[in-house]
Amino acid sequence: MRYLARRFLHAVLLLAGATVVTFLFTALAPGNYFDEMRLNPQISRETLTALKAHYDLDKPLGVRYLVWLKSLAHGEMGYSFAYNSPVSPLLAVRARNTLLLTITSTLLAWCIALPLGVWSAECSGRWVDRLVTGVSAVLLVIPDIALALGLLTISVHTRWLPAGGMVSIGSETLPFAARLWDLARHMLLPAGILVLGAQPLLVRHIRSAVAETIGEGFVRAAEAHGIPRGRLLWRYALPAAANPLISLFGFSIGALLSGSLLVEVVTSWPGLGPFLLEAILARDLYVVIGGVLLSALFLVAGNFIADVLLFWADPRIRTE
Amino acid sequence: MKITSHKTVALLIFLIFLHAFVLAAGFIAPYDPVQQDRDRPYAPPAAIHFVDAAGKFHVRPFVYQQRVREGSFDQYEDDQATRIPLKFFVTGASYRLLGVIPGTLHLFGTEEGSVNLLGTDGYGRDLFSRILYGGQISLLAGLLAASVSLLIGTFVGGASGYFGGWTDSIVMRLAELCLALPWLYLLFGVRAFLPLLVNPLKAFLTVVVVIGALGWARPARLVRGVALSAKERDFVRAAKGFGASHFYILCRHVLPQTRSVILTQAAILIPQYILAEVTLSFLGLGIPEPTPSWGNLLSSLQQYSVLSSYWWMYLPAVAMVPFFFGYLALSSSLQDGPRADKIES
Amino acid sequence: MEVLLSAENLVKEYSSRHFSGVKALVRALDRVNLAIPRGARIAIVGASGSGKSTLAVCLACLEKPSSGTIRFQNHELTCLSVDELRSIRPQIQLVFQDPATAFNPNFTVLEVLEEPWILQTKMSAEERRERATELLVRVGLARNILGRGSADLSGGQRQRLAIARALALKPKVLILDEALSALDYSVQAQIANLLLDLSDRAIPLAVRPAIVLITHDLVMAARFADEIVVMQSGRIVENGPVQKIVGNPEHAATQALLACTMNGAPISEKRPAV
Repeated sequence: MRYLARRFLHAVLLLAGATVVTFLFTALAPGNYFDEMRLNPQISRETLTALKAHYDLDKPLGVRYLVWLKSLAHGEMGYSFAYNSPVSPLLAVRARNTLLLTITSTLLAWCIALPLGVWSAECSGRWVDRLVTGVSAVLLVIPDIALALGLLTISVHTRWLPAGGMVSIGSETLPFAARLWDLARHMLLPAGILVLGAQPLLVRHIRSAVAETIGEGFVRAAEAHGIPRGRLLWRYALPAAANPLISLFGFSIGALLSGSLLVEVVTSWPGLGPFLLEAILARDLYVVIGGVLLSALFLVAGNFIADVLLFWADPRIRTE
Repeated sequence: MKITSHKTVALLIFLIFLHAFVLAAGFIAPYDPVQQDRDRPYAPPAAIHFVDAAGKFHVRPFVYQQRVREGSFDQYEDDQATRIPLKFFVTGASYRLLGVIPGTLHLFGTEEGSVNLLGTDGYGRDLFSRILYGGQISLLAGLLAASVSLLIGTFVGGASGYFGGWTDSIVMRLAELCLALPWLYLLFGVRAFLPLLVNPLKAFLTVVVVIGALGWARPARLVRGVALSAKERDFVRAAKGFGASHFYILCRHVLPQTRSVILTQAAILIPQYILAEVTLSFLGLGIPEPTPSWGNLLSSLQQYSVLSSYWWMYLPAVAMVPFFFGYLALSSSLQDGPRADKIES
Repeated sequence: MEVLLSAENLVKEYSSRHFSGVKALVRALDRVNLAIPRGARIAIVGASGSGKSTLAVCLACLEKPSSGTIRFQNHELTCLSVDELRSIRPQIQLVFQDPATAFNPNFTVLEVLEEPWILQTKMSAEERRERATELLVRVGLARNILGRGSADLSGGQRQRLAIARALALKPKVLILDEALSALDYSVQAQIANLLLDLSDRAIPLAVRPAIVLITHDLVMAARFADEIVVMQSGRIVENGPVQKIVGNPEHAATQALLACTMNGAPISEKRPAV
């Protein structure tokens, strides 16, 4: 338990550090943002004065940081100038869309990679293994952007799937099942890109972890006892190989918000990625900070969850 | 000493050849990358023929003049009446190899008309030339950024591991923090706060520095590990026994030990950073037009019309693949160690 | 005989942190008093963990003791600055236990031997080469290995090279910390003979180094040394001339060490003192 408490404290400290770093962005950015905004005719002078006072820009850095931290604690992440509304609800919607995509993709990716990895480790050296390793190697060499654009081009040429977006126009009027189907069709391409992109690394790690445990003494002993191969693999070898895999899973969780930026932009999926990009181009300061912080939160949380799972799964850590 | 495996050497030669090919862009590319031809936007790749429509064989390869098909505004067809023979070692637009050596000789070209091996883009610029020149920018960005990361990482990690104490603790906490933040988002975040509309050179340097500086943490940790273990070695203690200064020990004993770590990290970081530059440029945050980079060459694909009609605009992505293959294979071959082929005593 | 190097009330403590956060203080050296005369042959014996290596490292000024003093030629070393120490260090040289890590694996034999001269003198490259060859001959290595990589030598060769390096600056005290333990028994005997040669009584006292051999092997100690010092748990429990220690051990630790000898035969095979 103390171990978990320590890891939690560690995570909290990391997050605190992240808030400092992101806050420093604003302080160190060349050029006063409010100067730039003053040139923007869409923002009235009164709004500017109110914002300036609200954000205490005349107070020293430390005070501003603490004020910002306080508002963070309340769930406020500042104000979007482009959208003329608080940042948090905007981010929340976009984050939800991203999570919808990434959670599905991650689950799918693992569901495909696990059996492939186990099978590959089991038939080490035979044609199955060679095929899987070969395809993984090819996928690994193709950079993400090439994979995403390539699949998009294919999809557009064959017109099998919608060209982008999350839902079809007018889908709100459809019954639930039809809406779900519509969503699934739209999700197929971005999810497919993410799943394919994740396969090489996942399969390789799973395969090597399982291959290592298969060779170990206790598995051979179980084999000698006549335990059927399938049960052997899934109930004996895999749990022992779980240690590195759980860390890997933790990374997958951590990347839930941040790993899909490019794919979302390319397939026009209305998630956090395109929103962040838009904000950068529009110089929408607080949206950018909010986005970075939110994804940092997920990364740190993902690692912590991995620590918890590891603690629960691996008795060796508990007795350390 | 490290690079003794046949596989590693072969991969290195392969990579050097690829890079040389791109470096010689001035010579190999028939056209200037920013030279526009507004009469031929989005022309498809020209097919090279040896046999003409009448069935006659020509030793010198040729292409047909492309003209817009009647009734459409973007469909091209070959005008079988006009043959444009390819000439080799022609004089063309002037260029500077490696930015220094001026020249006007090109590997191939035509006297009249134009040969676009890979087609043209929306402004009629030759894609083949743009891919070569763009490759120079993207590859250079990746290499320079990796150098920045490795330089900072070695310096900080080496000092941290060697001197230990408070410096070490602080540096390691900082590194952990940097690694805890999502890299791409951080990259975008930092890029966001720097001026967006700058000239190509400034943009290039900004991209290189930002990508490189953000990636200091992993190499720093690895170099720190090496420094930490090297500092405890008997030969370092012996050198201390002879009155060696810290500087001497770092230069003579510790840093040489980091060589293999640095090389392996370089092979891993370079493709990552090339991809980072390409992603940034693709999204409009990197190298601006008209300077070509593989990233902004691909950015036209964000328009549906381009995506569906002009498949050759995807080719810059294909051009990236052999480089990635080379670097990834090299990094895994380096990590296998020298035991691969030779038996070392 | 003039006392060259001495330790008075030497204490060295290490703090180790237990997993639960409790700090424990380990006394590696507990009020050690030792005097090393010029040109002496001393062996320090004890079981593992008795503090022998810590003593060696402190005597060689590679670590600062927690308390107590170390004197070299009547100078107190413990309160010298780094620069002042720099001139004293070459006089007290340490040869380490593990021949495998004693040298930078990228160095050639010449580079290994040159290093002390590069750091402490202004000899030219030819001079260094000449002296390196002399040193090689002195420790019984072939002249022509100067260009070989230090990693290519055998264990025995490495220890000879380590001794050669230690002798490079003509130290007055040479300390060998379990330097023979990693070698084959026959090679151990050869090196022991080398040590006897280096401290041969025929060599004038002014240039003859004092050799301190640290070992857990009482047989080896008796073969080489004139005086034996027995350590246990950071303290010196017994010391005296070799015949007395071997023939009439008083302390339990000494007796235990004696009992560990290979064949229990009387330890009297030793080259006659010159």
